[in-house]
Amino acid sequence: MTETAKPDIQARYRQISLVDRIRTHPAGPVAVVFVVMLVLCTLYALANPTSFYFLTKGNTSLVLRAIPNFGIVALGVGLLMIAGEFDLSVGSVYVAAPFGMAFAYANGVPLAWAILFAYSIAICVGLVNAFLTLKFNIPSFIVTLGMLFIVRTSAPYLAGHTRSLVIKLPPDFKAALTKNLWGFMPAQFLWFIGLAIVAYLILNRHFLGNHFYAAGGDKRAARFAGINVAWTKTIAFVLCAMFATTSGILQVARSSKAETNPQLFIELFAVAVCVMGGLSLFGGRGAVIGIVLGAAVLQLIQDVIILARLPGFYLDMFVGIAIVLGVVMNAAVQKRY
Amino acid sequence: MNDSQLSVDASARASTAEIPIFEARRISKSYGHVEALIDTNFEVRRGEVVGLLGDNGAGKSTLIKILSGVVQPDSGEFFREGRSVDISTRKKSEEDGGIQTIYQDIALVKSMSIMRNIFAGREPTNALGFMRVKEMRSTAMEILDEYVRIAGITSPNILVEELSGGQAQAVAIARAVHFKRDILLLDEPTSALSVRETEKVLNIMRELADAGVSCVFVTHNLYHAFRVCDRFSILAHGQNVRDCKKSETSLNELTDIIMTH
Repeated sequence: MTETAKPDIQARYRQISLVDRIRTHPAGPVAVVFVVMLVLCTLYALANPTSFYFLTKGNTSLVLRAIPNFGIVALGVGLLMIAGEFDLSVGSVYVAAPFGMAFAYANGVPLAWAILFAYSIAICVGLVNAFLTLKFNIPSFIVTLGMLFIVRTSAPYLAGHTRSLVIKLPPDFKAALTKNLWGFMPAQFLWFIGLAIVAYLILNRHFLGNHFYAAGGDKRAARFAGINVAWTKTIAFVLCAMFATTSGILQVARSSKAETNPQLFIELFAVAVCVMGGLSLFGGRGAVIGIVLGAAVLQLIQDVIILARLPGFYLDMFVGIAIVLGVVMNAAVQKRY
Repeated sequence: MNDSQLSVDASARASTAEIPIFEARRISKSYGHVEALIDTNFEVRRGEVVGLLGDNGAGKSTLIKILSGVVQPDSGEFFREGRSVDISTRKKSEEDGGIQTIYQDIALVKSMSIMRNIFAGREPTNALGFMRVKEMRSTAMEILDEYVRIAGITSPNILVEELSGGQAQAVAIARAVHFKRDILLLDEPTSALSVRETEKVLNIMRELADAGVSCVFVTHNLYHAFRVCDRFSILAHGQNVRDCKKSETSLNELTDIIMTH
């Protein structure tokens, strides 16, 4: 086993060309859609600077602050989806784990321990999801749907029927997570990019990623290659819940308020982002860049509707259309095989 | 790649030829009232291709499952180079028995690249678990170059689903060989392949055997078996009915044996 192959071998195995890579990349379609939308919005904004405020610092900051909210949840959901499972309970973990943090902090627990408490809630939910799904061989869709409801109501119950908690976080902590830099770059977005890089490193540089793709792509073949599929998926479930918790903590840091009222449909938004981004619902396929671009496209659509002053109820409709179109497009692209 | 593992020199081969590299003795297995194997013996010598032949229901599948550690026999013993071994799990079959089984459909994950497949479950990593991607890439290229040499594989980053059946089979074989098993157990490797691809896979088996890696070729197709095997082991109704060298038999005789039992 040598460090670099002999040059004549290297020469025989060419790199796949850039065009081919984009064409065959799972995030190819969403990348094209993203670039087209961005160009169109920019051109329209340049043509109508007084009515379409797309290029203003304020709007950029708004968009970049909104993306991480469901984008970070989607990163976790995406990792798990590649490993071949779903998690709908992220919608509740997103709320309950940060609520746990706020509750602990409000009751005098040091912040670091309160954060640790939030992540231990996430890890527990992830382990329960994994255990029920893998032990009893139930579709994770159903297991985590149940957990979505259970976790959602457990937080206010345990906290004595509190509906929301206002907390005063240390200013440094709040700034590190949510400060708006240079007027248009919220720190949340940088955290999102950082976490996307972490997800990328897990999937493409860590052996766990290889196991995720194998377990999600073909469970039996993975098992035959000596991969412990149950263990692999358990780790993916836990990571997924931890990503959701991170997003929730950012949200609490931003508003200084932890609520037990769920943000509606964030778990479904996360799934939608992943599917638009080219991840397969059946597992084993997809890339982190697709999740990032999927989240960006979803938020761009919402932004355009707001900037164009269309009635609010169009928002869900357009998002729905975008999701369906995204899936159809990806299916059409993948059909080549 | 460890050359000594593959190219055993002639004198070493002659001296070890007497002790089979792997031997299964008096294997029995019943499923309820059905006796799938009855005191069946099977052996593999270094550097040979053995054809495991027999009609449907002869006990071939049961024997393969036992050899690959998926099914436990009711009785029987296994020996690797004369020493008793336990092959009761897949891991033990691979590591202690030295057997690498290549099943037709589940050898590779189709949605993954060749490189990811080659290292699935045995990624070279640093202490933190991060893969040595550069090393993986160059090793993958060497593996493809050394054992496969099948036209059309231009990069280790190609997804397996883009390969033809023969190419995928070749990659699965190359992976198995690279991880240094003594014996490849190939279950119907040619049944889904075109004529041309079949030819290639048969050639790969032959080359591997000549380089010292023994192959067990399980097949229905007597023509394929006769083209490549050094020895034949024929099962019928769970029992050994014939074990002979190629030079001692003919295609017609093999056909007769299988037909008349």
